[in-house]
Amino acid sequence: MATHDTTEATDSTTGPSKEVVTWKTKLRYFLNSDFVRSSPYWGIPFVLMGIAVYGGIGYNLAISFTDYAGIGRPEFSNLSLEMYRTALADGSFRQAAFQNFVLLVGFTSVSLALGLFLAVLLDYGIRYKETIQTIYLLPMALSFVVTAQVWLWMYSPGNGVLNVFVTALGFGSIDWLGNPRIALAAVIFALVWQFSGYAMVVFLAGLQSLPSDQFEAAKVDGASTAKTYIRIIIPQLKQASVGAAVVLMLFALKAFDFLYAITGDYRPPNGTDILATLMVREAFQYGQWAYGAAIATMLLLLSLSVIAPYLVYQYRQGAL
Amino acid sequence: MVDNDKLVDGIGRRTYLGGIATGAAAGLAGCASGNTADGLEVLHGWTGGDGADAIETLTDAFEEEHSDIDGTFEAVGGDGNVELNTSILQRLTNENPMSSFANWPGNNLERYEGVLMDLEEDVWEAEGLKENMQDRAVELCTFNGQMPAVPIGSHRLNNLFYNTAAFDEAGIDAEDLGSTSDLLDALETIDQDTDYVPFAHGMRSAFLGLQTWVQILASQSGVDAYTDFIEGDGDRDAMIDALETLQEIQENYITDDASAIGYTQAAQNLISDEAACIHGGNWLYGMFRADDDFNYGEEWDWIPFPGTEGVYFYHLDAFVTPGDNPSPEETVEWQKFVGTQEAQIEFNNLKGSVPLRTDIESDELADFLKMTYEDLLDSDEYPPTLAHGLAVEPEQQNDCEGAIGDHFMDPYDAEAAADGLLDAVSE
Amino acid sequence: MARLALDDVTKEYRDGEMSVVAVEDVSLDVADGEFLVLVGPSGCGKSTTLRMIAGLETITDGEITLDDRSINDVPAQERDIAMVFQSYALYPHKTVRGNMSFGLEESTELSDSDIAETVEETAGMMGIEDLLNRKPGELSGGQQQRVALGRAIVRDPDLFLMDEPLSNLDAKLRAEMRTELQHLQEQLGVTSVYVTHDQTEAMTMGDQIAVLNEGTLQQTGTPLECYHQPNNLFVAGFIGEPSMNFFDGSLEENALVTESLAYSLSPDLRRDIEAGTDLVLGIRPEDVRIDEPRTDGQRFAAEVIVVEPMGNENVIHLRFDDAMAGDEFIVTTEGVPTVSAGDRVDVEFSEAVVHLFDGDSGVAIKNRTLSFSGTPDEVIP
Repeated sequence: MATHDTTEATDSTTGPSKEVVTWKTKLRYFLNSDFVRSSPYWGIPFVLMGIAVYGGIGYNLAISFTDYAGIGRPEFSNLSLEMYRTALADGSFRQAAFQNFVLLVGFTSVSLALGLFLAVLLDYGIRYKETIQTIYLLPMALSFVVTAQVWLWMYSPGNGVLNVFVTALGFGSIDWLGNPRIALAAVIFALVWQFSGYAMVVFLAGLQSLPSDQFEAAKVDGASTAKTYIRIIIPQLKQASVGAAVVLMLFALKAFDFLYAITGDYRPPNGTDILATLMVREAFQYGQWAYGAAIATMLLLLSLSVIAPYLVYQYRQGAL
Repeated sequence: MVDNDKLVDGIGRRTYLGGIATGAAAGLAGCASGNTADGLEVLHGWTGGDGADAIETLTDAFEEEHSDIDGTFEAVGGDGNVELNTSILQRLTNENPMSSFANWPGNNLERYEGVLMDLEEDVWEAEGLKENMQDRAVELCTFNGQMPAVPIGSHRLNNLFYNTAAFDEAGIDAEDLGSTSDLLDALETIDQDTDYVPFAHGMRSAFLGLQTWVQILASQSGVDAYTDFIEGDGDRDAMIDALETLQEIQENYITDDASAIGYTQAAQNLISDEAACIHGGNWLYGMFRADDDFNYGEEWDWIPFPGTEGVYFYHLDAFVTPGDNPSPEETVEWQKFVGTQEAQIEFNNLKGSVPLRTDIESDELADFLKMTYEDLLDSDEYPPTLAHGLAVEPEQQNDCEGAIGDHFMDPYDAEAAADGLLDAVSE
Repeated sequence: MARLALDDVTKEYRDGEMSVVAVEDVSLDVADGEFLVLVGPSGCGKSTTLRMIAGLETITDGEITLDDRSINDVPAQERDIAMVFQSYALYPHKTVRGNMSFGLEESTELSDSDIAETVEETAGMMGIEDLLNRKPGELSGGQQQRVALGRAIVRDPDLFLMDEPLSNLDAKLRAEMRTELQHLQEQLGVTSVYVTHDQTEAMTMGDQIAVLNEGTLQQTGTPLECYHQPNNLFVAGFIGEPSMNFFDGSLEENALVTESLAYSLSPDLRRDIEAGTDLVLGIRPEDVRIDEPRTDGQRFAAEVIVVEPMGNENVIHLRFDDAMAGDEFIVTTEGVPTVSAGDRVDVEFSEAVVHLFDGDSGVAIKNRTLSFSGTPDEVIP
């Protein structure tokens, strides 16, 4: 840098050629800046991401404006929002969207609640804490496909584990996945089983970062254990719960793997169709590329609307 | 200030960049080349069981005979060809066609409209297959003025397989079952008098319910009612009758876990002596055959679906050729081979379907197949299957499955299902 | 407003075979309205004792009574005690107002408006009315400390407990708060127990102090009592800054003989001590005279090593001729320093100001003679 300074100083005293020199110097500055010099390093992933992810999103958006279906090429001559209109008018789309929303909200809130409950129990001090923690977290290590198969067996009407209990209690066996009224709840439950361990870990970390003298201060102030947790401890977990909630919601939006693995084809059990499964079915089974692209775009918007408030919140907090 | 030319772990900056650029170029080059194999590439959906054995025998025989052709035969798995169709669709859309693929001909070919290769001259006429193949098969392999497919085997759909021990115990003589109401009575008897599950049934996928409904419709209201339906002119009442019968069976005579199982497990119930009878395509025969203790004529037997005597409900597997073929000559050789007697006998004996050539000695086939083959050549009516692509276009078939899936998989709404079905075929 | 009494309170931590006795047989009496300071080095058990009073630790043995009512089995929530923690333990997500209201909300049936009023009042008393709507994270250390205090005061409890509340403050602020705390306590008249390791705080703040070491109570009494009449070596060495000078020796023929000096003991001093007993001579830095013309007491020659002028006093480090290097003793004088490093001087140990301790047990045999009607300077034989 020092060398450039002197160059400029001497150059600028030569008079008429000042303008050209300044421009060239600026260019030189630019080319030597950290930004440009490091570009081969961040540039390559940037280009790859740009093409694969953002390019893909852009192309998907473009296709959704056409009426591309089946074999052949898309025609970009006649762009319209027809696919979106069709989607919004289609009963099965609205149903899938509604069920997706229920899955989103249900799965996230139950996972958070269960995770918090488990974290509080563990924080309070139980024996074999580490073992219990591991057991709760293990299901996360399973792939969606394995989880789906396990729960398929558990839910099997007749001699699935759950129905063994139910019949032992004297009730008739329940068709968990076959009954559209409770199938979605059954799916949510299986997914909660898999992910509440994650919520638990996040909350436990949050709980353990709280200094224990707050517990004591609250105790001396006259608050019972329950009140202490409710009024003092849990409100301080806001940060952790927001983070965990966002991650959980994104998992919920991607529950496709699980639903696909349950049935083995593109049609999930009645009552559990979500946007992701609908999109795959429309695009890859029926060849309705443009329609599928439209659904995909709407799913993207849904995901963004989930994460945008979090980003705004973080920005306001100054962390972004 | 950092000296940016400093070595990074021993590699100079410029060397590092150069290495990356070369790597990227090599990677791109690899992607761009794609599939430039000169040989034959055939896709099919037979990943396991009898199908896999059959296709293996077929391909082995082909490679023996045509050792100069480099053939790749890929299986793509999944129930009901779903995955296979997706793969084919992707390949064709990406303009990267394979040489040939297994699929259902008939109206199913509509999804490949415009991208098919015509084999009429090179294969059908050259080998005289038009005369030697069963009429219906020839029809089904003709599409849009072209003949882009060669059939390999046919499964029959109007079957009722039954467990002889179960029927004996209930005192039912299968020959007496001449109509759906007879069947319902029989199921009721089995339910009351024995411990057997009367009707083995898988309900996991919508097409299973659909195909059974088709049988009931044809049985109750005649094949014409069915043909009218697939042509867009269905009789709503007849359809509702059939739906209600199906509902009755599904509500009363099947296993509790039916909605979670497919036809393989349902058939297993029959084999393990827990269920009395099952309806399905005669690919189920392949499963029965695999079990040494479960034999045709002894532990199990067959009647046409009650009420469908003299009818052969047609299902057809064929090898279809895409246009713009990467290996036209080799493909023609393959397709010709598919149509030969040898291929047809060997494949079908293992697959459990029947050949389409009319000039085959029925003794060359296994017992059960022999009987079915003779019926193939000698029936009164040959309605095409709905659930397997032959009767209506793919989109309509999907909608039919949708109608069953949405309205007729517990809870049952016969009216809504009927309307859905009618809407599906009327587009 | 209550009387606190600890009766042979013991705390033992057991972990299978291992057991650690943190507090052993401590008995204390704190009168109504009195300010007791529990003082001692780190690990002496003072915090543990305090926590037992608060109810945050269980009591292994003994009894704690508040107003003659045993509170051994009363849970912490119900003891009507307020505590100020060393780290303040403020609730970070609540405002100052919320922090101060919490205790009232949880332990009383007061209405919201009553609580608000009380909080405002107390905040005024502590000088933090402007901070009521801020959160702890936005406050300085001193402000947080006031809030912690305010939170305790607002509850108007029977007992105040304070666990080294000033240790996180800088020196100047600490001195200020010391005085303020004292004023507050007098004003409110609440019985208080204050824990600290700083003997200056103990000396200045307490009505009574209790010195603890390794779980046992060494001495209770007023600050001056502990200063001038320590029960044992430990108290003598702990209280007072700079601390008392000790000389180890033994009794030989009416004199205490150490390595560097022989101090004759008058019969009064000598008493019934057996010959050959190990003794420790103690004398406070301010009681040693340097180069005094009057020769009441015994004089010894010493060399000045270091003079530290503090402004208000001078800390002089000296060494006896026969002493080992590093074996220094300290003398403090007022005014302008009259000696400098390297000087040879005469130091005088007057018998009236000398303390004698048993060399083995540390128990005080003789403390300086003291009359409370006069100042310690006046030596009354």
